[in-house]
Amino acid sequence: MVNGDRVIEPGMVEAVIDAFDRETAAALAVPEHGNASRYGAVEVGDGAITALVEKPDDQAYRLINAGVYAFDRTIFDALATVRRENGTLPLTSAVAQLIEEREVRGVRTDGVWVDATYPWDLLTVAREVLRHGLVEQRTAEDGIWVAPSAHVHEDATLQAPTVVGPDCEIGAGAVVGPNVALGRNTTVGANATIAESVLDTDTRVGMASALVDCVTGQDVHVGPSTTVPGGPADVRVEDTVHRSERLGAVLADRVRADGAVTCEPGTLVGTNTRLGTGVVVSGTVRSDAEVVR
Amino acid sequence: MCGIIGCVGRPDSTLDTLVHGLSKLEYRGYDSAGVALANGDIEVVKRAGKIEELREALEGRSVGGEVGIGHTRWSTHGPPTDENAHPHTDCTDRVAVVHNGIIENYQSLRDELAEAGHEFRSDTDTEVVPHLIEQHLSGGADPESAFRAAVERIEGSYAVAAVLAGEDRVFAAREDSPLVLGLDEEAYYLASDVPAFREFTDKVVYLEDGEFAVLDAGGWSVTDAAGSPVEKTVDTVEWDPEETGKSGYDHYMLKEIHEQPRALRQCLSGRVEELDGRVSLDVDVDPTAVQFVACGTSYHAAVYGAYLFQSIGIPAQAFLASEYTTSPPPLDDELVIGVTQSGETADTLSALREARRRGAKTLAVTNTVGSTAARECDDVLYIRAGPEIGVAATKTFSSQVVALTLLVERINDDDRETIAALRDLAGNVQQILDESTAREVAEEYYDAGAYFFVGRGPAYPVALEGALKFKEISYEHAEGFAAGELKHGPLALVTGETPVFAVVTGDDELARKTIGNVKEVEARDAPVIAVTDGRSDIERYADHVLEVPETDPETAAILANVQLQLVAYHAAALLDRPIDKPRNLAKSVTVE
Repeated sequence: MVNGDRVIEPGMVEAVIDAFDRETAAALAVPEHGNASRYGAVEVGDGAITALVEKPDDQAYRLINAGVYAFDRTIFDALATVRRENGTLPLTSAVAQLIEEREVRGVRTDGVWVDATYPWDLLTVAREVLRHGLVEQRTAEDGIWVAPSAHVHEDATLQAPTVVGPDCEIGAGAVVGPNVALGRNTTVGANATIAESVLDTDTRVGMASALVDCVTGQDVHVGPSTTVPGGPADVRVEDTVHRSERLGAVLADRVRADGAVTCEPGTLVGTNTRLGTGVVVSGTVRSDAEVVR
Repeated sequence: MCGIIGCVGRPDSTLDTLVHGLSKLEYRGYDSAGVALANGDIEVVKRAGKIEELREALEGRSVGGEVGIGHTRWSTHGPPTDENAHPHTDCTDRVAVVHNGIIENYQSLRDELAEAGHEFRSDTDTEVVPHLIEQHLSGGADPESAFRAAVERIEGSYAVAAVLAGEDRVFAAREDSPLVLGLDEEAYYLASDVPAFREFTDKVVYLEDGEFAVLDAGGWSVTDAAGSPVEKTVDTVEWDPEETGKSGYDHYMLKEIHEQPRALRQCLSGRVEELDGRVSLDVDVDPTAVQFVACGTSYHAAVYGAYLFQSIGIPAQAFLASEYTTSPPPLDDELVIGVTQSGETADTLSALREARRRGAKTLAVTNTVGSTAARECDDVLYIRAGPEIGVAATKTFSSQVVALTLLVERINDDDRETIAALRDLAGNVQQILDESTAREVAEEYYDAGAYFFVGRGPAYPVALEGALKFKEISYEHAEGFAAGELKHGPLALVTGETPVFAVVTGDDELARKTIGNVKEVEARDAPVIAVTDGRSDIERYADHVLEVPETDPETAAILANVQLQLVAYHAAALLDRPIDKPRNLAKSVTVE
């Protein structure tokens, strides 16, 4: 079983399958992570997992539960005894029960492991994916992937690593990269600057805009001279505040920013929302809203 | 895209199994099909056209064999002719091959083989493979080694399968094209996709790039490029054979409606540059006047095209192809444009031939590479919508309209707003697909007695198309009118039980006049459904509103049409009609 919101190396799944046998109730991939306290950390002794610790305060942990599991049938019995929390059966509680009763193997692996729970995680995912060159297009030149059908103006500058998808257009004087992924049919106007950003299919960026640490959904239109200066910022999602996230802004599908809009660091803008010319937005702007000066 | 199939272990029904499998793979292409069965000899039957044509060719013939292969083709290189249909054979007719993919080094292989005395019968890249196998066989190789040696020589993408005379085995290999084995108790299959044999078995083995497979009645084996055996996992597929090919949608029509953003991007790919305001098309026309010939949905696209040409000052008229042939209008130096999805529509072909006979220059606007229309016309503009299976045309109408808009923009090269709107179209269509309330409208009105659709200017062909779509699949009475014509007759039919769909985008003279006509309808208590971008005040007179995003007037009609496609689909679904194959209708009408 693999968690759906992660980008992982196939080798991690293979290693878990290899380590799993009749003797063990379960096997889990446990890669090292520099920031284990943000995830589910694990304690391992002699190849077996001794404890699961959810988001530990203690900085001593360095191995995490990567969300790559192999189970035998006993997991269903364990799940049957677990108490529901907010309507869901917490898998980790069932695993904790298996740890007490039988052997749960911790499989040390390495390779790509990136979490993609929140929209801004796409920025980290893009950085990792580009760093490892896991790009669909086959040919790269010094860390720059440009689809054959894309038009890049000869006076535009691409900075590695960057990927430019099919049918993209990049205007004169634009600077794109590093760590930028442009989805299919994206347009970057003249003299726009885009760094550390992921722009999804059909996004339009107007002339002389500057986007840093920015995530756009599909069919987002950003008018001329729009500014997203970039993170870090504290980002609030429902009741949780995520401190010092490196996030400029998330513009959800079909957001229209008319022009000269400024998004303060950490801004989240909901789908179909229109931002009128010259507005300055911060925090969370709900879907289907219209923001005018 | 093409589909291949192979079968061993059903000696009494090899042919039926292959043809059945091909019909399940028809979504992968349907412009020619063929089979090869191996007994002491190789028997090949293949035909340009749909699988039905192959069935007819097979009628009354006893074609038998222990093993066989088959192919259904969607032409990319070389027109769909009997010769270019697969399977392809060698000079001795002892080896037959089917292939899905593109062989990149075929020209050099073909030159080399021709030099060695091999004679080629088709324009395809595939034909080099049987000749390569023949070459190795005559050099003394055993069948399996000859097949492996031939595959080693080819570069590119392929899923390839071969049968040889006197051999009860099927050989196969893949690289970058799909290939899956199906395992029954005593029979074995291979195919481009599981639906080809899903009716017989749910046990499958997926081949990986670089792997070879050999099937015979005794079993199957898979080896790697070096010839070492590969241990494969046998998977069990769970889905229902009926669902396949529809990607989880209930009908091909709904799938194709949802494919429109992709089809439109494909139509525009490499043809527009928004920042430079440029359209580049590989079409050499610069007409002073235009006559369109087309039928059905394509005729509605043609009416739209005529409107576009007129809007840039080029005289243009749209004719029903069947009328054009028998009562032709005067022809001076008009460009005659035939719009046909399949490129095989008999009425359109004869109208185009009539125009050519009278010395006109002709252009085909079609979805089908190498089709008769594409071959016979002086020029061709491909709409690139991909295969369309549903009889009711949806994505191909949108792509036809976009292709015609591109043509007009190429000639009238100073309209950046329209070019930007074209680039924006896929996203706008996606928004409609995500947010449409068409189903609620269909639920409210699907049991009404009759339906009317009205529009003016570019919205007029959309009204015609909306009505055609509705009647084709719902079997309910539906008519489209120019909004101004309503009061000249049809208004007599309007009652409180006849919903009227009004297409109104923008807020100009056109919109205001249509709204005037809508008020006439409203006064007769008819329910009004407005398809609008919300710029005018039509919502005040409407019982329901189907919204489309605001865009350039040249492209707004395409968006309005998507809403009407969805209304027709949902109404037909609520009435439980056979949406993909409505009674009495065929996808491509090849009789006059």
